[in-house]
Amino acid sequence: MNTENRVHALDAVRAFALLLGLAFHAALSFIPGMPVGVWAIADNSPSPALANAAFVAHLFRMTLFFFIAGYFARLLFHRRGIGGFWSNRALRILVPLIVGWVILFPSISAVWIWGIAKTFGPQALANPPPRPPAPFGAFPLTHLWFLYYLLLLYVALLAVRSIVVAADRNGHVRAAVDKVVRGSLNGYWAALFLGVPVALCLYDLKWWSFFQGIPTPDSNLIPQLASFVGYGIAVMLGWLVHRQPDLLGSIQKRWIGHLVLAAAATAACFWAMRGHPLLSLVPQGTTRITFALAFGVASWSWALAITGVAVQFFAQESRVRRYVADSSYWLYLAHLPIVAAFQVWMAKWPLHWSVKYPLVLLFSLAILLASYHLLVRPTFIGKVLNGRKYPLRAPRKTPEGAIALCADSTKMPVAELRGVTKRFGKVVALDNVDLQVNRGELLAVLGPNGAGKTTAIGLWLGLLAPDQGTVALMGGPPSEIERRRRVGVMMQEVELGRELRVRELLELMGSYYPNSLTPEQAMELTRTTALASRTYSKLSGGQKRQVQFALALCGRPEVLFLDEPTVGLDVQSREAMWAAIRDLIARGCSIVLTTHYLEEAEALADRVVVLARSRVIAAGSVDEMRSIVARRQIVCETTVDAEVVRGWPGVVDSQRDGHRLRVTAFDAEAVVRRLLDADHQLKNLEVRQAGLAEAFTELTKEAA
Amino acid sequence: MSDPNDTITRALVLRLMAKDMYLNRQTMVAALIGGILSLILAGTNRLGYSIGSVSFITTMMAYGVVLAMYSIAQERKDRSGLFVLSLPIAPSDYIRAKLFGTTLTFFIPWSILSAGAVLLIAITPLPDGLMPMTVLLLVYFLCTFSIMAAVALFVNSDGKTTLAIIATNMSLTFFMFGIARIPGLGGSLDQQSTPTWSGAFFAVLAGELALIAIALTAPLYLHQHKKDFI
Repeated sequence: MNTENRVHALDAVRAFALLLGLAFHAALSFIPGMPVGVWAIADNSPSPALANAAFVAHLFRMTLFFFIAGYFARLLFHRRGIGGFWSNRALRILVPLIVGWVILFPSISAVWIWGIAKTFGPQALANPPPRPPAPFGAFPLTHLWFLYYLLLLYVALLAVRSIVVAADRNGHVRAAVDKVVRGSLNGYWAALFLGVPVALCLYDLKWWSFFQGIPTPDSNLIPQLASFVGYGIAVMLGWLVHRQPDLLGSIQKRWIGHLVLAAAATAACFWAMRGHPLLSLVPQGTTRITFALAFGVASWSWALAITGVAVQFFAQESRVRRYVADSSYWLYLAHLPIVAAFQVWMAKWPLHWSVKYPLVLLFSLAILLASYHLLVRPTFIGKVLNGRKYPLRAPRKTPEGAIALCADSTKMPVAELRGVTKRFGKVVALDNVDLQVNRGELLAVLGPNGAGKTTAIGLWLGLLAPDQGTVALMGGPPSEIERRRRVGVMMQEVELGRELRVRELLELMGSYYPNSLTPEQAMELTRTTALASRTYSKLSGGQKRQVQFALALCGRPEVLFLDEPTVGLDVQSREAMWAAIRDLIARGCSIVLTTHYLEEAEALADRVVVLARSRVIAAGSVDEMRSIVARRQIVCETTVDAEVVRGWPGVVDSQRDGHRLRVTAFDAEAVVRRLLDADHQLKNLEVRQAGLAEAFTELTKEAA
Repeated sequence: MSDPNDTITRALVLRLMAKDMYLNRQTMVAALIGGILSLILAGTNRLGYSIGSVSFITTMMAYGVVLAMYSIAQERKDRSGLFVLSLPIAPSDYIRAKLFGTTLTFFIPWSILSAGAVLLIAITPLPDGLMPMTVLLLVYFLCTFSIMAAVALFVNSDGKTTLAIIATNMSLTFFMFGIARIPGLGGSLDQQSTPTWSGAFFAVLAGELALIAIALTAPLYLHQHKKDFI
């Protein structure tokens, strides 16, 4: 289990807690005896069952939320440091709190007024009942109180942390705390251990109703003890669990046990409530003790059970869950006036609650999701809430765009051979070879047959093991599947499912990769759409190569190995493949291309490596390759003795070929001047800029 | 919590197995048709039984050979195995997919035809005493196929694969004659109206099953110690 997985799971838990809040608020108008004013309206079809369900949800939803918030808080703190932490929290918590309140409070008030008017008539608004004097610090935080408390708890948490770090220099205290946390989570003690302090705070409350649970501190800026302690414990535990991330595994292992405990403790809550209305005050005495304890244990058992379930079943990334998780913050922030408005609107409808409640949820979610998708996700609001903006339309998975997304702009090597020697029996295929492919470049590997080009690719793919040296693919061993998923390969002379059509082959290939290209995208990129319904075995050799190229792109590769890709292609198809390769390079894909077609390397490559006799005999840009030979090629008709010329500075070799003297030199200009000085009759002088073909021929000849 | 990589690899192995079965679907159907026609023929009369039995044995053996040759050896020859190895899959997983995919491709028609053969003996006037020999023969088909598949998967030479195929095919004759001479299996037992499930039967059956187990696990074990896959 890796950290990334846990984050996905906990993202899901956080979204669940927030969306549960939405469902909870949607149920409030259906709770029997709900006073209008406390909530916007009381529906004409109340439901005890829905009330009980809402009570159970309310038992744990905020505890769960704050627990996850604590975990993510430490994650953020350690990723960004204290400055980064606070700037992030200011943007993600403080700004939504202030801006949200300015917009939401009037909206909520308007809905409440509508509800009161609908219940008591317009005259109730003209003659409101006298209000008790507001206590010190009174402020209508609305449902945004959780943001305010998050900020308070962050301050408290970091203050405690600073004190602990300063006082506990040898770490003994932290180790002891870690041990206690581990001990309690490696069993079922945590729910009891955490539930007791919650119960103590609740027990001491003056006005405490069964339904209320941990009181919602939405009407006062002064921190309320029970809420602060109850949710503070949750944030603290989340923080401490992040100190020992393997504890999530312990929670995961015990999810069934926690669930059983949660069910038992919830049953105990209902048992303590028997004979009392849900909204009534909790009487003093045994009932209060029992209910407070059962509530505390149930609250934490549910929180741990749900976290365990998420780690067990939702650890993998899912686009849908990711979308829901991203949207859940907005949905929760904005939901209250919308949900309450639908409740008020439907309150007097002559329908059963089992029809109205889903309708309230459905209508509210439709508006909220539409507003999120259109107004939040693609705008600066989305950047504030989700940390990034998403384009309104998800980029069509064009091969170009998709591959560009894979690309990393860093110039780190994506494939390396370091001092690699590979032998097949007595044959040395590669001899102490160093090769490096940088991100976003096309490396052309040239060489005669048997030079070791395909062996190099086999090593990079983990299909061959080096006898000596190191092979790295994207910074690690090439045999690791995670790396292989980021690679596309087009090998030489392979055969595929002969009876399959091209589209079927591409579909099959795509099914081997997560997030693959669709057959249409692969065909569009490789200009093979016309071959879609053709049977593979009936394609020409060149068409098969084109299809193999499309197959190599199916997995959206970051690194592409093309082993002589244009063999057998006609000029038009070759140009099309070159264009596609240039597209890939432009979008950051790294390509290793082995080829005999030197003009291919000349047309496409950023760098060229020449392999011959198992060794790298030259490496550099195309121009550098050319220049190697350009310095050497001087041909002329002269009487100057070849042996004499051979002794001149800068001359590598000098051969006589009939009347012609063929000189190989490092500095062509100087040698030509000296030749002209030595022989005024010199004629038919040629000093040519060599093509890569000549460079290759010269180099491999020399190596031989 | 399962490793997501393992989940994806498992899914990939299953897809490769499904691909093998899909690509061999026509061979499977042909084997089934051939086997069923042979069984029908074997149920008609004495002559039909003789022709049908030979035809049934030929069908089963030929089916195993075709699978080993075309699904494994030919794949290596035309380098489509190399293409699969270029997928995001470990070579050992590829071997696993290939071995189990091909075995399943053989196993499905084999199990249907084996059930048919047993049923034929049970419901027709053919003596039920034939049952033990028939069962051993049917399991032997699975055994020879497993050996052929294992050899084809492990060796890189067409010659050695062909040799293994010839050897396993020839071994059938020796097997049939061999078990017919084992007390408790052969003799006139196959002419009796009730089958005799002797200790010899179970010993031979255990030997066959052990061979199958070895054949199906050996390539996996040997490939774990292999360094190069192309």
